[in-house]
Order: sequence, then C-alpha cells, then structure tokens
Amino acid sequence: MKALSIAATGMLAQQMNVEVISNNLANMNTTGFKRQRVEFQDLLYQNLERVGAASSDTGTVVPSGIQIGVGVKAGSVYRITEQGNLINTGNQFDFAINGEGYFRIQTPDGDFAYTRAGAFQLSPTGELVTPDGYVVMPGINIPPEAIDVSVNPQGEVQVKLSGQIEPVVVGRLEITTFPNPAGLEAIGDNLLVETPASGVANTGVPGTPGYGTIVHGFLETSNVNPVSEITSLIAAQRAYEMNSKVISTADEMLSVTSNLR
Amino acid sequence: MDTTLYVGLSHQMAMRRSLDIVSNNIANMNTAAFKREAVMFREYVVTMPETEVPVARRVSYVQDVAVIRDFREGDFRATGNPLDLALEGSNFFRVRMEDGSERYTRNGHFRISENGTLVTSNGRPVLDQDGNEIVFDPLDGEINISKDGTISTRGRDVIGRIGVVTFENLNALEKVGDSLYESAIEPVPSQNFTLLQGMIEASNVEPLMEMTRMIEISRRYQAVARVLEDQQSLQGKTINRLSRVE
Repeated sequence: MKALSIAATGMLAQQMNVEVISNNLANMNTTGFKRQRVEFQDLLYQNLERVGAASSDTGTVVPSGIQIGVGVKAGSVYRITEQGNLINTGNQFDFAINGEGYFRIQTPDGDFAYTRAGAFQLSPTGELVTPDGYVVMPGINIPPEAIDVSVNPQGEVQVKLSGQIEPVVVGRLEITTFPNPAGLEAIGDNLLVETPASGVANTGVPGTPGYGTIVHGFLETSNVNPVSEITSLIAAQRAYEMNSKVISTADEMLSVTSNLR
Repeated sequence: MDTTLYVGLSHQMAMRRSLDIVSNNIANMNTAAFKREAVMFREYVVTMPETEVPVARRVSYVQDVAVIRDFREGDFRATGNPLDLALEGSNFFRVRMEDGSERYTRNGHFRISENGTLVTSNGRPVLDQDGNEIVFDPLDGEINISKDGTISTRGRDVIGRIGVVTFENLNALEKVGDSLYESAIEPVPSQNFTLLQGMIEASNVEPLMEMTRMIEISRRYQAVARVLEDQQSLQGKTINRLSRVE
C-alpha cells in the first residue's frame, strides 16, 4: 500500500517545516537574522497508464492517463533577505545596512565571512571588531585619543580628536554584495560564507549603485514576523496530524483485509 | 460462482488506488502550486454467456480509467521575496532542463544563480518569451517585475519579459515531479495573464475535503470486505447443505 509511505514523506516534510519555523522563532531577537522558509516539491510520478497511449486500434488515445504521485520532499530551505527594521541604539559602534550588502569580516583562520549584524566593538588595539573579536574589513583603527566617532552613509569613518576642531578620516567601511545572497551558507554566530551558489563577492563603496548605505547608531533587527510564524506553525502541525491520519486509515484498511475470514 | 468475490475485489483495488491519490494530495498540501488530483472510475461490463437468467448475465466491475487534475488556482500568499512570482489563470512558466528540453511549472519560487541567471529552486533556468535565459547583472539592484511580466531593475530599464505559456488541453500534461509538467504538444504563448510579484501560489488541496474522502474510502473498503465475508459463508453453507446425505 503506497499510502503508508506517501503519508510518511508528508510527515517528514512537516517535521522539517516545524524545525525551520522554530529556528526562526528562536532567532526572533537576533540582530540581522533573516527568516527562512521551506519550499516543498512533489516527488516523481508513477505512470500506470500513460497519457496519450492508444486505447484502441482506430487511433483513439487515453486523454489523461493514470499518474500516481509518491509524496513530497523539501525542495530547499531558503533565506528571505527582506530588510529588517532599523532600531536606534545610540551606541557609537552600532551599524546597520540599509539596502543590499554585507559587512566583510576576517575570521581567525584568515578567510572572509559576511554579516549584517553590525554590533561592533573595539579591540584592545583600537581596531573595529565583531563581538567575537574578528576584524571588520578593511580594518579601521580608532585612535585612543578620539572623543567622538561619526560614520556617514557612504561609510566614511571620521573621528574627533581632543583639542582639534576638524574631524580626521580614519578609514571607510566597505560593503560586499553577491549575485545570489540566498546561496550564502550560514555558519552560525551571525556569519555567512561564500559558496559556489552565492556567486563571487563584489566589494564596493556604500551608497554607490547596487550597494546599500550605512546607518550609524542603528541595528537591523531580524525580519522574523512572529504572527506569521505562529500561524505557519499551526498549519504545519495540522498538516502533520492529517498525514498521520492517512497512515491510520491505511492501517485500518489493511487490517480489514487481513481479518477476512 | 466466484464472480461476487471478483467484483468486490475490483472495488477494493479501486479504493486502494483512491487512497494513494488522496494521501499524495495530503502530503502535498503545503507544496507551492500543487494541483489536487482525483481518480475517475468507470463501469466495466462483462457479459456472462452461461447464466440462465438474462438480467444476471451482465456483471459490472470497477475500473480506474484516469487521474484527473483540478487546475483551479490555489490561494496567493505574500512572501516578501521579490523573486517569488504567482500566475493567474491556466498559465505556466517555461523552464529549461539539463538536456535542453522544456518543462512547464506554476511554482514561481525563483532565485538568481551564481552567474546571475534567473533559475528555479532546483537551479534550472527560467526562460523569457523568446526562449532565452534571463540574466541579471550583480549591480542591478532592486528587481521589479510588472503584471505583464516585464522585468526592470534600478540600474537598467527593461531587461526582458518572463515567458508565460498556456495549453489547449491541460489534461494532456504529464507531471514529472519537482513541480514540473511535461507536454508532448507545443504550448501556446499566453497573451493575457497577470503576474504578481512577491507572492506564491499555494496548493489547491482542501484538507477538509481530502479527510472526508479518506473516511469514505475506508468505510467503503470495509463494506466490501463485509460482502466478501457474507458471500464466503454463503458458499460454505451451500457446500454443507448440498453435501449432506439424507
């Protein structure tokens, strides 16, 4: 009986759906988090009677045939890169990107990772780093005697040194974009890495065409919408229940057959 | 003598196949643009020559002749993803397979590949109205797709139009999995269609209807099992009584 295995694929798919939704809800307050969604696809079909097969010698054909599907699979889990809300934190090392792009971060092994969580801090040497201490590229040093830092939408970092009237430019934050940002691989700690699916990284100046702008003193919240996640959760749970009901019906029918006297 | 058993059996086989179809509908109730299916049955009449009574000569079996697809539109759900497209009416997107052949889909969940091409979630290129791939530039910025399928970006004005086709006979389409359809007959370019950006067509399976269908299938199956049992006990009684020596 195919119904048993078909319903099992349905239950597995819904289980994955619940897992993705629960990860979204768990990261509701994670800075720069992008919600994910599972996309389902139907599995292959068995042709019991082919469409267009001849049904008689005079040339009449079967108009629709008999095709039986064998269930469902998760086609992909993809990130929805919709902009999150920007909230004002007032912190001088908090940055948000308005529009396309990611901050480029150098991980301890020398590779690059990308993030939209711009809650940065200073290292003991005055360098701009992530909360894990990884350097924000291209490497910006804030001198210890700086009394105020300001960053314009184009990413230019200016510091006001004590005793000086004119601010001094110490560097420029850069933004990286990808042809397919949904293809980036998440490695945890709010970081994403380049993959063959994401395409080659293009690093550029914020505010130029194709790149977002830097918003200083703001953080991007996650784009998870709790209400829609909860409703999806309810829908997923009901779908799971209905698939389990199919299994019990198939089981009932099998037991009727085996109890025939 | 055994005809009752075989008629009952044909009905049970039909019910099993119906359950397979219903369970596939339920498994795919969250699959984008999935179309509900149902089995169509017909009476298969066999004339028995050796019976004495004329009316008892005709025996009807059940035969499943076709799976019919319900091509009604599913609900449109907003996703907030600019590359999610929903199509109104009986229209399809064109997808090019690895072997160069064309398939058709209503599942408009697309993305941009690593070389900037518009592809389905399985990485197969989506074609424009002339059958060419749609290529974006990394610096294109925001993508806008209008209701008639015209694609424009912030950087460049118009870069193409999404290819949308339709078929004269939708039931001649064959499902091949991955939300794709195959057709032996050439499609017709669709003239009037509405395409919605940022939306996905949900499956048109109505869970409530499928559950009631499933209960019905299960009960019918049980009813036939009962008939088979009765028939068998009748046979047993007959053999007993006729073989009794008075």
